[in-house]
Amino acid sequence: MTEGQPQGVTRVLIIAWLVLVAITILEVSLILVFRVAPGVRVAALILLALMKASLIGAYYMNLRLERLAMTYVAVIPLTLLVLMLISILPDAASLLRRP
Amino acid sequence: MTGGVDATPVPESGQQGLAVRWGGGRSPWDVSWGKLMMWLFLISDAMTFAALLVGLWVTRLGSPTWPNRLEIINLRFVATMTVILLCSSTTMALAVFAIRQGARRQAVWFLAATIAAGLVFAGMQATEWTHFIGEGARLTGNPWGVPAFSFTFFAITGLHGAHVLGGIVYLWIIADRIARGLGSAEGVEIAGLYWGFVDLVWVFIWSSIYLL
Repeated sequence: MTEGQPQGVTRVLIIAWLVLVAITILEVSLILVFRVAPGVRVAALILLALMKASLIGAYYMNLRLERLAMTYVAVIPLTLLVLMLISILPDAASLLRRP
Repeated sequence: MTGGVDATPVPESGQQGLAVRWGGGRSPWDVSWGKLMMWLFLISDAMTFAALLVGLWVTRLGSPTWPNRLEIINLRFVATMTVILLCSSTTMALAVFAIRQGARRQAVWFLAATIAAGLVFAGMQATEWTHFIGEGARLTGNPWGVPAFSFTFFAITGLHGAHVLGGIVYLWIIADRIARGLGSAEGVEIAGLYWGFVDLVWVFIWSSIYLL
């Protein structure tokens, strides 16, 4: 792992925190303030959640500083997890159509 | 067609760089065993939370009705909890950076701030649970007629809350060791991975239970 200058790292972490807080405010606003179509809202919330998760992984869990192979150890199982989530959607849809 | 080996030098960033990256050897991931074990634990823990969230979504999509959370839960209150957890992750990352710079005293203060924020989060979650139970929610049923609603709420937020409480104890031990000049920078970094994971999981719990 490598590190930059002390002030630079602190600044980057503060910026990451501000972005995460801004995304959280936007998420709440999508529910309480803005009137958007449910489909758009769901897509936006999922996208915002993935952005937050990426920021936390990169900056708070320092994946941005690790060797690429180490990043794969973390990212590949989580990618498979997303595929598993997608694979249950047909089952969930059939449950929805159940009388 | 030539059968010989191409002897052209390959730059470090090209094929050779890739070989170095994937070459295996004694330390293919270039991390200590402690850090790798923490990563493996976190990945297995992520699967546990994923199973619970998948269960929530299958149950919810299969349920004819699902209570309107906005009528039961104060979203602004939970949003504040979320921001506090984000603050704690930032102070944790700052503690990791401070200890790497050799600033042990500063690292202890940042760890103390992380513990304090974790305690506030846990206290707010206890308040939220008290309110929810006061509304009549139980593990096996609730006034809104969808037992799975309160069951999934208690199971998922409860497991996450247990991680927060466990993390507080973990950070306390690490901070104490650093304050007494015993702990290593890597120990703080590994604890930082755990705390970052607690925040990461909350992103998906927050989205699945409260927002979507």
